[in-house]
Amino acid sequence: MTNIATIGEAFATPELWHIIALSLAVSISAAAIAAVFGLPLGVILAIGRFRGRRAAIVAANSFLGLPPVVIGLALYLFFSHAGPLGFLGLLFTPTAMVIAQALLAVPIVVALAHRATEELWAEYGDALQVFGASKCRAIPTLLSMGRGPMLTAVLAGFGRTVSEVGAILIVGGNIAGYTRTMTTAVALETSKGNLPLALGLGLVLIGLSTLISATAFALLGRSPR
Amino acid sequence: MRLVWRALAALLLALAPAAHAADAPPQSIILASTTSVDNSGLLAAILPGFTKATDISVKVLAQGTGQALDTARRGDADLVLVHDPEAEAKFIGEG
Repeated sequence: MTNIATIGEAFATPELWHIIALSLAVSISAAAIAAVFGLPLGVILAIGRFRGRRAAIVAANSFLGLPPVVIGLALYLFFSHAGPLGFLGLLFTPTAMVIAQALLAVPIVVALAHRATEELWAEYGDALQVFGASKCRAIPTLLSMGRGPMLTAVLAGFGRTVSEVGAILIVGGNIAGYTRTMTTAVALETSKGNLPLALGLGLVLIGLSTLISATAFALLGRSPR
Repeated sequence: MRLVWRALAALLLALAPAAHAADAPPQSIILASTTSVDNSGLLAAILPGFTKATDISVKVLAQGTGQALDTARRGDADLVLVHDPEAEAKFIGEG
């Protein structure tokens, strides 16, 4: 019972609100960046015919399982003061965390957007071209036609960013009140043996990410395909 | 309702540092230390006094001893506080 009281206390602190807000800000920004780059790239890979296209598709699909800790470590070496990008001073900042998570989410968005567009293009590609749309002009049309699967692609990317812990732990440093997110806090509290608090944080995280997915589908105005 | 406002305010606060970083960087230093030092409550007890006296906030990295020393070696931390005399001697010996 004391455990439950402790959780209640922990949940009332401003630090906890900061952790929740930072988690959402970082993972949503990363997913948004991944969407901005990944969706058009996925469409281009599906309808374009150019050198290196197959290789890019294979790369996107094989990077689906990119290990976050390895990405985190690689970025750590780049952003470290002793590394090539050290002058940017990004190590142990939320910006570095957004970059790491965006890198992890891009392949997911690209691969799923590519798959969705391939089906659409097989079905409507000829019609789109008959109406005089160049392949370039067809990109927005395809994104809009496939908005259900495209949203799924972005949400899959968001699922990756919001649940990710290995990369942001390394590049963010899990600094209290600055770069501590829900996932890194759960890892920390677990390592301290503070399991009820870790579990409570975990449930809040799951609840929030479910809420965001549900809101996204509601905003789209129709059920997913 | 008040809870909602607090959540919104926290969200804004969380987004603010990114905007601020471009202006004058806030006075802060990074202290690389170990998880046990952090968990002991020592830092939580002494750092607020330091920040109050100097207006410098301290960001604490709670790492393993080896990682804390390596972070300092790479120049990614301003201070390092560990408790392994042999490793410290080696670290200082390296310059």
